[in-house]
Amino acid sequence: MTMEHPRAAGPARALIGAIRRRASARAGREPLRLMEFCGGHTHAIMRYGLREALAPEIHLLSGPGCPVCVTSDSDIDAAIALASVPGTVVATFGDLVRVPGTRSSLQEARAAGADVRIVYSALDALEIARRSPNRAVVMLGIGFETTAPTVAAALEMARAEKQTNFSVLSLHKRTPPAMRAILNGGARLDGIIGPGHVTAITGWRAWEFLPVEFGIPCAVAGFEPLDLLHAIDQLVAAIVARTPRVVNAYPRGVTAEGNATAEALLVRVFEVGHADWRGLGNVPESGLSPRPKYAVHDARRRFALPATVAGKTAVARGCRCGDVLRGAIDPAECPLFGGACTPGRPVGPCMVSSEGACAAHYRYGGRAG
Amino acid sequence: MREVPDQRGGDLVLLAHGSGGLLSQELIEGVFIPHLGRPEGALEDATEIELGMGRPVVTTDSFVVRPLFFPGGDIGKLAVCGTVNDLAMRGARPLYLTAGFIIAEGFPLAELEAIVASMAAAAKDAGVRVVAGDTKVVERGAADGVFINTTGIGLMPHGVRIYAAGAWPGDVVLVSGAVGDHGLAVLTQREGLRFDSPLVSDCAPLHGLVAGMLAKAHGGIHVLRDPTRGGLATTLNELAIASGVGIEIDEDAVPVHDAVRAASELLGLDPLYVANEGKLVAIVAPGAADAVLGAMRALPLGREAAAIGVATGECGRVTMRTSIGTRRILDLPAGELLPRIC
Amino acid sequence: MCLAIPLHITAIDGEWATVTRGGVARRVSLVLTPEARMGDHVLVHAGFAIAVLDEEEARATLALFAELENAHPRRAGDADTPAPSNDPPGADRPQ
Repeated sequence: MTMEHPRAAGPARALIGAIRRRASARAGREPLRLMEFCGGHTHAIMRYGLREALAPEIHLLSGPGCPVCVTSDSDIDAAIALASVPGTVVATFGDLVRVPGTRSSLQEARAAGADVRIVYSALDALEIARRSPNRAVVMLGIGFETTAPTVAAALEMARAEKQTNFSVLSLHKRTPPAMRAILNGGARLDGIIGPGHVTAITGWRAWEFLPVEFGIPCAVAGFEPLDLLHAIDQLVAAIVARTPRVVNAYPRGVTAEGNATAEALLVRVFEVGHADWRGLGNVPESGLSPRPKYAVHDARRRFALPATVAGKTAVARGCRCGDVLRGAIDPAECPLFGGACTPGRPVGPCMVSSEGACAAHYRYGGRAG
Repeated sequence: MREVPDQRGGDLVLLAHGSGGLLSQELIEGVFIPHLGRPEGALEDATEIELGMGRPVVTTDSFVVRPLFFPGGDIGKLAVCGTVNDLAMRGARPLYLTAGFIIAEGFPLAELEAIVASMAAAAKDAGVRVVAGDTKVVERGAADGVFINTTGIGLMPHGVRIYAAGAWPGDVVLVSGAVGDHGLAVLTQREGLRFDSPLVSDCAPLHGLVAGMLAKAHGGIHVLRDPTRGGLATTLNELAIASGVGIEIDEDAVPVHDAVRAASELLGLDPLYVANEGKLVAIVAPGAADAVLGAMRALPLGREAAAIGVATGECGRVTMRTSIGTRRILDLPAGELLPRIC
Repeated sequence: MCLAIPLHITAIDGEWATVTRGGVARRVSLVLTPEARMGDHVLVHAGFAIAVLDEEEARATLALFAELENAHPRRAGDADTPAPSNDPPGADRPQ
């Protein structure tokens, strides 16, 4: 049988109609505000025109689910500083290459002669380290719970093989604390579309705090357009019935308890601390850094980079990425959107990453007048 | 996959190969002439050419592909096909090519010879002659191995008017085959992104296909363009702006090979934005669409040709009916095609 | 976070698997999914299998979508999806 998901127009039309009818049948004229918390969802929603298709009854917001978007200026600067150390190879996922720090980007560092290489996997970076034993290889570890285990696995292998020239700059972050920060920060939301692949690792019980503590339902969604529509349909049903709960709308990939192997690996390799999120500032218990026994493979320790300091992240030049991430404003409401800040010349990470709320809105949703 | 020739120790390009003296002569006689042919008489500073009847057209292009050798071709073949196709997109018959090589010191001579041989084979296959050339050698690291610049000269038949601004609302948009093959074949050869895959560049000369289309179109072909850098979506945007029309396409109608779709999904790329080197977009009068499509499908390079959309009155805007029946804007890409994990 | 694609395991070699889709093949690590077996479909992210897909649930989901069209046939009054506009999202749109 096929695992290929049908992208059929028929079921999509049926779901879109059902969602909009159900939402408009309830009392009150306000659109339902649903936040998706995953850059991959932002991308899929934009790619399939779901925002327009579900409007005006549903208003889809993008939360801080794009790990590139929420990487702070100082973390980017640290990565660029590493790239500028002579003889160092910096390995990175493609997403991070264009992100601006306070002054420059990895792409510009590469143009200036730094050895910056795009990899598909942390294992590729480890392989570079094996093949070039005289060069320091630093893997930039970005991503949430989906990616962190893959980098943890590479760290464990490096330690076992004593591949001492391999290290990781961990910029990994955890999603539940950020969701709490958003809700505690006063974001007005009716429901949350849960990140399908993060949840494949964490299990859907990780989201039970949403209905229990905040009275908000969460539907965990896959990434095909029908998966998303199905999840939104379930979410709207739960909202309308006033029965906040977690719905697993991606049962083929997501279970209640998640991937125990990956979770155990995360605990073995990483410890939890605070982390600086662009736009949200410091979020406690949200950052992952390698445990002391991995010190030799921890780029922050090895290269004596300044530790993340609890405190406010400076916001650059009028950039309102923070408010966009919190769902407080739409991209078009930022004064820089479409003018000083465009995908070609991005100011903040929301515009740099192709799935960032602002870039996605610019590409698929038209431009501000 | 194309085998990269073994590097014999010591047979490297030196700075002296580019400085006009004895080694330059050796390079020309030893590498270029055997493959590209010897002109009658001595090697001159400039070559006389015969043009014949029609309007002369000229184009120039530079080729910087990395890696230099990829499944389905190499920089030499790419240089010929890319230049020939620029001429073909005006409905012209390509006649002559020039080739200027900029080579990095230390580049293996055997690889240079393989590139030149490939260029010669592609030129022969396309029916064009490489009539002038130049070689310069730069310091190690200043060039990515080899850069090639070309000029192409062709003849546009009288009565043919094909140009970017030629589309009208109501015209039909055709594509000559599946998109995304070249860009993905090249990208997946780069370190860290390698898959085992049947991804092969579609690099090919298109003037034969164009001639076949013109013969059946009776003046109905308004625009031709090959969707290279930036892919189909970028080309449609360029044409929409140039012609002052809108374009609406149907996602399900755009042919994409399974392997391209799978590799794109793995890397987080959209085939509509990936480069092609052996495909064309044609915007034709509604009455000519069937005939032109039939002419394309009758030829090897057009077997998978398809009608993918129409030109509309919405000036400059390209939209797409998605595979789930919704609509979205198909915009210009932000920049370089980058794989993502997010 | 995000980009993970279902692929089919066609060979296993210790902690590594060859996975394929649409004719493309790649070696991925099974370190995060030691329970994976030949013939399984796995979600692949950044070079690792991160979950084994549940085939029964996949079938159930497909069946659900097939049913959906029957349960909610297109009605007169269902608007066609409007063309994307330049208005900010949330603005009222004529149907």
